[in-house]
Amino acid sequence: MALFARKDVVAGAALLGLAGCFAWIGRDLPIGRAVRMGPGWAPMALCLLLAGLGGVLLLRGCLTRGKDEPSPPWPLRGAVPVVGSLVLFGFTVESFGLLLASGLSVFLAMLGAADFKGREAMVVSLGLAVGVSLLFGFGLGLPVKILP
Amino acid sequence: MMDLFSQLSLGFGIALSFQNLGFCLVGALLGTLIGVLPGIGPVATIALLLPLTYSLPPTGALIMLAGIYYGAQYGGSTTAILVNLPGEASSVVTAIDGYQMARRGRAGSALAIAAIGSFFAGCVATLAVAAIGPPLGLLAQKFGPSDYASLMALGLVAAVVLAGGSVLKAIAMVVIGLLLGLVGTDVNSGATRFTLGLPELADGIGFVPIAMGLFGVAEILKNLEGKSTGAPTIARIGTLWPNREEWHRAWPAMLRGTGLGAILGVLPGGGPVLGSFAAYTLEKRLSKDPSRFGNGAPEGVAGPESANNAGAQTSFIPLLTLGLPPNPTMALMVGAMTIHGIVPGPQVMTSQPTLFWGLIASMWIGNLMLLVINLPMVGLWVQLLRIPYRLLYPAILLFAAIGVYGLNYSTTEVVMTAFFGVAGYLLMRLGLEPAPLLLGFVLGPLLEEHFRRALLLSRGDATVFADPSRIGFYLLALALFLLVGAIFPRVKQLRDVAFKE
Repeated sequence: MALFARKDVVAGAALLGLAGCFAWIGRDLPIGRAVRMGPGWAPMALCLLLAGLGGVLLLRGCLTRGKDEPSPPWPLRGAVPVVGSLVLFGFTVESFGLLLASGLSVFLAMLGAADFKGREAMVVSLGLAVGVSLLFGFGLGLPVKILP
Repeated sequence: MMDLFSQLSLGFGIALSFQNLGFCLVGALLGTLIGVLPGIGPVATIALLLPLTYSLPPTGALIMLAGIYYGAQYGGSTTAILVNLPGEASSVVTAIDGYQMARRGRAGSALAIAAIGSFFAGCVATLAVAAIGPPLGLLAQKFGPSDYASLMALGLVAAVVLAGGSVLKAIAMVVIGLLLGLVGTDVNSGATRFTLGLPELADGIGFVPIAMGLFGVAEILKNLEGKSTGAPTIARIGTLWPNREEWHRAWPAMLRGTGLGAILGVLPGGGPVLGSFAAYTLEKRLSKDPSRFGNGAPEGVAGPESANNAGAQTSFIPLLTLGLPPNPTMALMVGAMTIHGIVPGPQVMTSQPTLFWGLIASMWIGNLMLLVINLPMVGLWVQLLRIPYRLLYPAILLFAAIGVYGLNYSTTEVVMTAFFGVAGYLLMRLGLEPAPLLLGFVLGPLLEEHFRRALLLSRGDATVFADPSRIGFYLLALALFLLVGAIFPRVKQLRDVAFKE
């Protein structure tokens, strides 16, 4: 048994932090009064509520005993290529064209699998790139350029 | 009554057009596909396909998206029974007894019971939507801003209370959703809120990047948590006909599951998942010999499968009549309707009768299609399970990227999708479910608008919400009652019982 419910403590702290961020970003918004609420009224009310919830969760987490289960490993091996693939697509589709951007981002995404196979990944990314270029570019007439 | 028939025949006229039959079939096929494949749910798929529906007529688009949603309820049972992996969250309990039946060589029978139960439930629930929709819509037309604000508050509270897991965390998720919904230009004052000075955020955060990130990308990240990405082993199907004893046990469970699922589907936060869990518990309680459950009881398949399909259909009732999405999938439907310039709410029925009745009629047709798609053709779908996940997720990801990009041709939105994907995964790791967040995000701007308008009309007098001559008062009272009830231990115990198993 762990001394406290670690997940709840982290979650509570995260909520508190988030509430703080939102409140800080929106600090200049005029709050107004109930008759004519300013643009800052709802944000401030919600930030206070969120901070309150986070605080309760944090305290409750500290006071209860948690289960001592090991947390699953961080899937960095998968996450970095997956996130990278989306970002890569977003930044290359305009300059490289749909075909090349699709192929590159699929290949990058496939690097995330634990059982990555190089040749298979080449074939799949080529196939998908040609497939979506035909489907979206020619078939559905999406106004993006296909080749660089 | 005659009115209902003439309107239904109008609906069938629309739904039976060649084009709409095609959309319905595509939706049912796609729904089955994603239902069968574990690791991608209806919410993610609808988010993925939303951009593809821009060029479609609104009725066709909604028919297709609805087909995906209830089609997934059929397909989910196939994977649950044959592989012991729930294809969808609503099929989790089906896997318990369905897989045991499969191990005893009765997989075909379990599949047939699931499909027939789903079909029966779908037909009954579609009729319920047609019968309950119009009177409820008429009632909703009398609603003022304060009533609407109360109704939305009730919706959010009910979603929190019924959603399972920690109430505190669910409320926090709703609040984050509300905050994210505020991002952008404030309609009343013109001030920009939370935009960090980025012009891309002046119109608010797009619905599609949030939904696709939180549900699509986050799900992929979770599935890549170091497990094997190979293909699972699949049980043999055998004969598709239930024997006399199985059938005798299954049909009363189908009736009960349909009723229970239909009622729970209407509730905010309910929908198919709650229905299937509750139906399983009910069947176990009613059984003379509860020990049969978990060892291949046909009731354990028939009840939940009927309930999840009934719930999938009836969750359209609050969306179509009140404009209130009871679950994340319906929140996506709000997004789809908005993209096509339709404001969800009671006026849809009168201003767009062809859309309303066409959609309802298409649900019945879609259920019929699904029966055919799933039963004789089940062998075909099973082949899909042999595709390893390492080939599947890059394709899902690419479609997500193109889908988001095709929305506004904006690089920022694609990057935002990645951001919300990571955020969604982190939330899941902390035990914070993203579903209430999406509801808060969709309902937040509406809630604020109605709330402000109500206070403006009453000159800042908040007692307008406590006026017993308005229906809003009772809705708000119910919301408070539910909230207090959820926090007190007695009700919490009951709730925990329902979510056990």
